[in-house]
Amino acid sequence: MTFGSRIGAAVALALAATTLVACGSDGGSDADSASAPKPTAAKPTGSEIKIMTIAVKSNPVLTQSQQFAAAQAKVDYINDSGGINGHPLTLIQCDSNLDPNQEGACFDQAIKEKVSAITGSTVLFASDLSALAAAKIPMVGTQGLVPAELGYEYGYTFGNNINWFKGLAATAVSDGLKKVAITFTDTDAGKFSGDLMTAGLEAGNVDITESLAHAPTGGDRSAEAATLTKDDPEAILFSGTSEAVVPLMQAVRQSGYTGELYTISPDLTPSGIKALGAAGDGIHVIGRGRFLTDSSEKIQQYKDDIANYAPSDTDMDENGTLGWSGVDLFATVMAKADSFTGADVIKQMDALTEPVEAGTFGPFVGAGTGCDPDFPKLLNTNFIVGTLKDGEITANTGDFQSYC
Amino acid sequence: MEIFRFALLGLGIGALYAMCAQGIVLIYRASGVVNFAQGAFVLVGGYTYYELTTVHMQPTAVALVGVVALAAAVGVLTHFLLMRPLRNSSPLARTVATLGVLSLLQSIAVLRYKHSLLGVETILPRDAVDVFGATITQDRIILFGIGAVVTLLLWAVYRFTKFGQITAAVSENEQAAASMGHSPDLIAALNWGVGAGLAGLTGALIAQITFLEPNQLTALVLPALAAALLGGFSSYPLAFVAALGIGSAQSVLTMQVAEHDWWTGWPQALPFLAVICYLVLRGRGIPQRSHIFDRLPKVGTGKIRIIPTLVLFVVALAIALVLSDTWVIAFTATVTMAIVCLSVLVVTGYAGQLSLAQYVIGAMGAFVAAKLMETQGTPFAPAFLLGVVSAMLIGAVLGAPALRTRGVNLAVTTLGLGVTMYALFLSNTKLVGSIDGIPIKSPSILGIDIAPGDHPRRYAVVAIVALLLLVLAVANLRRGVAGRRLLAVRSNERAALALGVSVYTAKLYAFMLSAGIAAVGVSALAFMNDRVVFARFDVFSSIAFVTATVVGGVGMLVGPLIGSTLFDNSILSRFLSQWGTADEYMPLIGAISVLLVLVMGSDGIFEQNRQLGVAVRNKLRARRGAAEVPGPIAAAPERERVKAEPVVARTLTVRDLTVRFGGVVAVSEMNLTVRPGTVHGLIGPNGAGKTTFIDAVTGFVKSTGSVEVEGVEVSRLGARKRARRGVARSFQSGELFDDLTVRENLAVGSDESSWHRYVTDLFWPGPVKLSPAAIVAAQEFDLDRDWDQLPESLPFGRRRLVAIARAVASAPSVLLLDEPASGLDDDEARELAHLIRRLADDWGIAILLVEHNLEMVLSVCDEITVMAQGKELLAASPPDVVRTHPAVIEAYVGTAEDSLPGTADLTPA
Repeated sequence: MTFGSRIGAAVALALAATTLVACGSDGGSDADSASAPKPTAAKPTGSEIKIMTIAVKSNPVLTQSQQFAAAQAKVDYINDSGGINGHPLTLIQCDSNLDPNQEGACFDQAIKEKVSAITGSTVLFASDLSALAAAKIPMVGTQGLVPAELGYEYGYTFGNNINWFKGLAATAVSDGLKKVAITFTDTDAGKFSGDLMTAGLEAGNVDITESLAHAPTGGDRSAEAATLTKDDPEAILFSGTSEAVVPLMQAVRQSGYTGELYTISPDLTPSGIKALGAAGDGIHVIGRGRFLTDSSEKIQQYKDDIANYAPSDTDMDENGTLGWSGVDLFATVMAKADSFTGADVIKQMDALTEPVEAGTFGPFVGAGTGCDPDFPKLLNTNFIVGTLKDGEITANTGDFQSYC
Repeated sequence: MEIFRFALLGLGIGALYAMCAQGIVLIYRASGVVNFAQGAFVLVGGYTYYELTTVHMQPTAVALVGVVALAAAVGVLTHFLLMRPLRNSSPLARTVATLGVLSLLQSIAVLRYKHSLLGVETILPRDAVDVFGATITQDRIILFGIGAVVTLLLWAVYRFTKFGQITAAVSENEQAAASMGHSPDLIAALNWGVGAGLAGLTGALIAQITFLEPNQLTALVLPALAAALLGGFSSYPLAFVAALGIGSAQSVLTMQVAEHDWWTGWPQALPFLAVICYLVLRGRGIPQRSHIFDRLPKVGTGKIRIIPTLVLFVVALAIALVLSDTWVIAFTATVTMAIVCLSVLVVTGYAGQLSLAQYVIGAMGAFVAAKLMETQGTPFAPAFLLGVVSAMLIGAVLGAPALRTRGVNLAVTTLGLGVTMYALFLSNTKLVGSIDGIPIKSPSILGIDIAPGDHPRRYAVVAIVALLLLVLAVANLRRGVAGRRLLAVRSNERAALALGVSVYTAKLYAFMLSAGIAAVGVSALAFMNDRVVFARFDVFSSIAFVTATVVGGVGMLVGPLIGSTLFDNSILSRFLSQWGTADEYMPLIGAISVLLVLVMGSDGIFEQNRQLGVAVRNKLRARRGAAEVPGPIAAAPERERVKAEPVVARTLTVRDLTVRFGGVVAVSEMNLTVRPGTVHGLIGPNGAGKTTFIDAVTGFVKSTGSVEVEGVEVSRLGARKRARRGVARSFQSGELFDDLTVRENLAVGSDESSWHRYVTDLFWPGPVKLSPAAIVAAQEFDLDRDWDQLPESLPFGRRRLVAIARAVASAPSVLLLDEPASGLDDDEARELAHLIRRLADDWGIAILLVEHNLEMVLSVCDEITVMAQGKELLAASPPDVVRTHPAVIEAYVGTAEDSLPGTADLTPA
């Protein structure tokens, strides 16, 4: 082959690659148009307030890009509304990429940037938060997934993991189930959720036929599904990442299993619900915040912010409401503050005695002792139960309930 | 019953593995390429089906046609844009090209779809079906049925149709098929299209039972490769059965994992362990004579230019000491990855063994070190060193299959071992914890804290020094005896064996050394963090290190330095990250770079640019009227003529030698004696078994009967040991080591067999030393003036002389020459005959000469044995007897009335 023809092939190759990149769609779904326009208040002129959101941007095991997009949308909305008491808000997005080292680097960056708070974040590892505590940086409206985070002295978490899985077990017991299988993603956080479910179910005298730690990734899930269903449980309780749980649910239904399925709200992402199709109908869903079908003002505002500020391909889901609600809680608590150091935020959170609306979440109180003896720092023990039907999760009653 | 049910469940995914595997088989049969991108073609099919049915709401039938058409088009494009330009390149280059296509399609999918789960509305019924008491759903049976029908169709089409027959013809002999009017190019393109189309269909079907995610779809190639290999890359039914077996076994083992923790990882590892066992059992210790040696990427000389090296070192130190922490961290990561790439250079560039598991092996070393620190409290430095040693031992295990497999089979084997280690250790949450990883002790050296978190610059300096030392060691290796052995094995295992090089030792050494280097690199990379998450060190990343090194130049010391910048946490990525999300395009940039570099030539960016620079410089000089023309070759340094010393006189005695290939008797009860100082001719028509006789005497094929050297039985010894006993040979095709200069070729023949050079050469290779016999041979054959030339730059006749000189460099007692005059003109043949006679007369070597040039044989030989159809036609006789023997004349000329040529004039022209 001559040099010239090799050049020709190389050029053609480059063109072909470029064409492949350029074509196709990104698979995202467009947000609906907003019911309200962007606010047009005067630009905030006060000193800058920095906050940080930590999440997993894009990873085969977990993707939470909506968390960043929603938090940023809320920040943009606040700034267009005049900021927090005249101070502009800046959001630092830190992608932990499901890596404990990267998550640690995010904490280091938060300390270096002297952020006022870490809001609406997914903290997955956090074994040592002493440096964060020394810098007096609070976590406001974070997930509450791991014990270290739940026990963090400046943590004001939504307590999702506890609410979800204690709520999941409580719901199974109250539904009168006697024989269930449980499954969780084979990670530390997954095992923690498995322990919470097991404790709740055993306390309610529910027999656990199978407790399966499913693989975080994997193509064909039929063998795992068959393992879960082999002793004919009345129901299967799922926890883990959406990337693992949705395919497993699909495989369980494909195996012909007709019993009840229970899971937590973030596992049913819009694309997951869409992918499950009719197979998803009837799944019992435990939420730690209001579902997107809720008609409350906060949910509508979240949708408007996504429509007005987020990239057009942003899906609306539970990760999004977390990111958005974390910023909302911060802004609500600090609405009248003049100083925004971490210590100031801690002071304001600790001073809360009356419940506040925490974005799309239930009433949130930042001070006192919670009702859960295992997690006395956890002040929000609410969960809400809904059902998936025709591609939407609808609350059964619309009321939050406490698992205590 | 539960096991039976789980086995049945696995048939569905097994059938999909089978379809993917069959695409691999048919592409291999048509083009000789193992397509690692087959999983990426499945990805194209899956996402296209999603787009057409879910986004654009097309009917299923339309979508299926579109899927197959688009995937087929991608396959055909792959052929025309990549495989055709690379048709004369090495299997390594073509294999890496398919890896590049895999990376390209995967990175495009990740950019377009991220890692979101995308699903389609299934078209397969899901009603429960009872199969001998086990309940499964209809879709599994349908998938099994589709797989079976596809298998049957492929088998029938490729066995009974004209297209299939032409494909088989092209597969067996491209030139012959072309002479019959068939276009091998077109046939290959069509098969690429069919194979990719089949993968597209597989993608559409897999979307029916699971969600689409880029990494999972491309990973389908792993079990499919295992199935294809078990099918011998040739049998569709066997591949189908193997794939079903893999699918069912994985399903059953997944059930076991739920019951018993210790089964963790086995569902993924099992297919490849089966493949490895199969390959090792059916492999060959010595490659067959038909083994084709394609051009391999160019190898550097290993010479270190002191000033550029110092400049690079100082610049690296400056970067480590001056730039901000974030840049230093990115630079340190790049340095550590360069070390991993350096390991690829050793095992693939120098030893020619395509290992796709370097990163995983390195991670195993880091794993051992981390576990020692975590569970035993071992301090950082000894834990690090023990990790490196462990990796070297694992490298020996990885290298063991290389003793009996080679080429793409070896690549798949190393990939399989990589998958096995990853599944059983690195991603086994029972051993490495979950995504939390294993905590690492704060590293220190000689009491100096080099913790990368607190002292990133210190850590960077240590990494830079480690890279420099390893580069120097590898450069020393290249210039030393050990490096010549590796390059000899890479060029031609048979020729290396014939010179007494232990191919086994060389390969094991390459795998062990490269594993140790990889462990240094990966450990240094992993320990940059406080916790190591081992699940990140997967086989696809391992593949990326091979492709990156090839881009840089897999034979050049600069290659790893360039290749290491192509990763998404490298300094180049850090540079690009300044522009928003540009760093997300690093995998795509890397993939396109690989493909462009390969299309432009497989020697890598550095060598291509160097050649371009030379060409531009020559053009500029030509314009000025001073073109750089090759000057007269420098005269060889005048040396005192050394007189040949007689070799140890030994007689070769062969009795009742018989060679069987299956039911065919290639050589039957041959007897022959070659005495010192004589030339014994062995002649016979084509196919008489002469070369097989030489192969048997020198230990390259198994035989019965007796082979004695001066009364000592050697027939139970291997080829290398026979060579070390003084039995040397040449080959019909010369089979020189093309990557070594003439001097180095002779040096391989001169080198002692000591193993310690494998260690000492890393530190002090010393000059190239030739044995007295090699020096005399070079003088006798007038090779001094070609000393530093590569064989490919020499005329054919001189290449022949180099081959013979190399054979006598070890001063053998017995020399077997296989058609040394083939391709020489009359003058060259006369000169050669003269030299052969001198080797017998002056050196005292016992020479067996197999040659078709009867004039030469009759002139130069003392005795001649005649073979026909594997048997002795005429026992050892003087030339005059042979010349007039009727049976010989009839065997050669056809009629007893004719005569054979007379004696040639041996006076050199």
